Amino acid sequence: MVALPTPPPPTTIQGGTISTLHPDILQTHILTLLDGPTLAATACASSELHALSTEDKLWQKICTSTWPSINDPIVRSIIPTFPSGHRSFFSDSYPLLHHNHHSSSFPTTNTECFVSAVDIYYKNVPIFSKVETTETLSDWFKSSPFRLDLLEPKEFVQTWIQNQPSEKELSVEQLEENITLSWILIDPKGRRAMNLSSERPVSVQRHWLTGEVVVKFSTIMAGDGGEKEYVECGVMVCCGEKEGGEVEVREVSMVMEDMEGKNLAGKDGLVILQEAMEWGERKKGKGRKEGKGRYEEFVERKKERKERMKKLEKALDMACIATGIAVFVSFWTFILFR
Amino acid sequence: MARNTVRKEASDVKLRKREEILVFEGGQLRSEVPKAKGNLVVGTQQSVLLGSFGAEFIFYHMPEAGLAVVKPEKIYNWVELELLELEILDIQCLHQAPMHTFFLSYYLFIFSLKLPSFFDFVVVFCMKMKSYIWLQTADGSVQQVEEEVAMFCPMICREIIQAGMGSSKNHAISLPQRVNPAILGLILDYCRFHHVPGHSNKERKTFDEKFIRMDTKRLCELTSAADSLQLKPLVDLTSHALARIIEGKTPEEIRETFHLPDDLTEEEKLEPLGNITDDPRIRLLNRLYARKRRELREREKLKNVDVEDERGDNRSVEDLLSFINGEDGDVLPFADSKGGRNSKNKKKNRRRKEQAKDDSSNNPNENQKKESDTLPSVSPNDEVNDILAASPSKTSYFQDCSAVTFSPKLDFDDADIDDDDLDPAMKEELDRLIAMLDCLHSLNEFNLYLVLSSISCGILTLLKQQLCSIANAIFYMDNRFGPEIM
Repeated sequence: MVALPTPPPPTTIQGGTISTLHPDILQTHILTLLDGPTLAATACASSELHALSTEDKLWQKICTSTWPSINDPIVRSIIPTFPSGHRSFFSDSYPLLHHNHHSSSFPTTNTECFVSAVDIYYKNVPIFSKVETTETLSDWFKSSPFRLDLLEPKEFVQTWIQNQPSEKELSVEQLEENITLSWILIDPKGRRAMNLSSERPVSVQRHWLTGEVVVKFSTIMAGDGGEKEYVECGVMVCCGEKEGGEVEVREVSMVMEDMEGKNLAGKDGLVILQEAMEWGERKKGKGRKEGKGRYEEFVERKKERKERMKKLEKALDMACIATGIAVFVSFWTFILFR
Repeated sequence: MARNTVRKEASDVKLRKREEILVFEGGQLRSEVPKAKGNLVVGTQQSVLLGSFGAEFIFYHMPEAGLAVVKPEKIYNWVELELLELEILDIQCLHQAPMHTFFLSYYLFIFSLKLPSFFDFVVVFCMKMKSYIWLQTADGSVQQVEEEVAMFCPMICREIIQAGMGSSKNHAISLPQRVNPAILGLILDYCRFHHVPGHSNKERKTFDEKFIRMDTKRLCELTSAADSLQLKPLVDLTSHALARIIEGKTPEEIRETFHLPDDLTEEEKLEPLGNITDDPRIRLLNRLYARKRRELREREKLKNVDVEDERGDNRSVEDLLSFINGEDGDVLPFADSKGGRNSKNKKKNRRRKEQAKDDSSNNPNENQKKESDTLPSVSPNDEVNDILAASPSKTSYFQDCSAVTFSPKLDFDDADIDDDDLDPAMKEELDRLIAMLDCLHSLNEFNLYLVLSSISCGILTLLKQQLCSIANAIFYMDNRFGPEIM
């Protein structure tokens, strides 16, 4: 990587613009106060600001404050290999992923593993962070259904969230309003990352058997076509209530489902994820409900598809029956009128 | 006159009683009209002392004046007392510590009580000598500032204490270059308010908020001045204010607010991820493309009709494209600008070239439209989301560059070649050729392009096939030497 040439500090005082500020002041006092999108905007404003705003330390601070899981040593060793360090990582992972069109190219790099950095926030305060590595080369992974689990089956995570004492059971609305998740999938070999979660939950339901609340965050991606036309990449967080009224997280997992509700196999899921990572557009979320809107669209599409298949089946059935009758009738006419 | 007699210990005393200042100077009492009412100090009542003579004396604590003991009923009523300001010009028994002054004043007071008929009130004052510091700004003008206000600045403080400067006009403390008199005035206002310990946090906050309300230009000047004077609280305050201004703005707005030049290339703006290399050729290429895009934008506005003409024949282009198979070493110009992705790009090109070429060859007619589609995405007026968007797919990039090069090359050639000599079809053909060539090679091959264009001037009379064959030869040469040149 080639280092950027830093511009010389302004020596002449021109009428009091921000360029009269010594670069040190700009850097240490002002730029450190800005958040991610604003810093990206200043980086695009002028060449001077660009040189100052692309300082890795600034972006590192922003990344670690947004996602506490970044501090994990595994992730910390991967991020410097990214093309622009933390800046490219932030710009890969912060916006929501939009991958609506399938491109027919082959993935160029064979990812050896994925690193997932997950953070769950309640009222914008992080309650759970974990980093998990999943290898993708083995046959076992490729043939089994695509599923990433973060917690062991009996492992629970205590949180400080208190259930409201007036409610007997865990309140669904309370969780829906306040819980947010960020699941960043990092491809160390391809040096890209993407955020697989819609920031806010797309559905919050109570499980019929265990009484836990299942909060779902999902992203819709374009797949191969056919029943994999759109693929839902869903993250499920199961929260239960302890005796003391505290909420604990019992399960955090990610699965990929196609339009028929079938879980994708590891190999297919891998291909789709790789593609999304390469070609997916990262756009700033247009509002709180955007993720949910897309999910509902997906659900609609699923329904439509189902209807279509049903109709097709019906038509096929009729055709088969008609052929059967025709054969039957012709056979008997043949026999009788021979 | 008798009302305002004062102890002779103090040599000269100024008493301000509402509109009037009574001065006791050299044994004489005279009155003066006050200059300004700005510095009235209100004393807070500390205690009421009942003198042994049955008289009521009130101790007032003046923040700057120390203590005052006043016997009220003879001279002023309660209202007037509030407006009393004491200012001492010269005093023998002075010290800063209020405790000393309290006792001192108490003794003086007791002494004065012995002779009640001569004194209607006793004013005891112990005040710090209000000394002034001389400051000189970069443009040579000198001004006087109260010492305690100036001491609020660490730099000035250091100068006074260590270097002993500032005590007279000749030895004025020279302030750093960035502090001009207007800004110095602002800074002193700030210091004057804040050095007083008596204000609550809420008051300080309100003052700060009002203080910050100025235009951004002055705010910037203030920040650099405060930084050079090492006045950390003011630096923090102004930095926060500037950060608040910058927050939430698009790059265009930021440029507007701070009057910055728009000197980034389009690629640099689009590529938060891209590894912007230091390669001067790449930079030159980027600038070239950026400039051409701009030209194109302008021309597009003017010549919308001409779009029809330029949707030329694609077929010949496809012929040429078929010559360019198997150039695996050659990389898209833009790929260089993403250093970290070079290897990926190369592999990608092999597979995507077919598709990309098809797209680009089918798209010269859509170029103009694509221009207007892609250009808004690169225009600086964009929302942050577009800037945050990762680089568009390689196909669209290829289209971008082909879109850029196709029509601008036409314009470029216009400058070089006489219109009369050219057969329009040939000209178009030539241009497409050159554009393809340029598009597929890095800047190194720019020379080749120049050579080709100069050759083309000479061989315009040749038939189309001959032209193609020459181009073919050049391509072939390029194939062989391309990777090495690169």
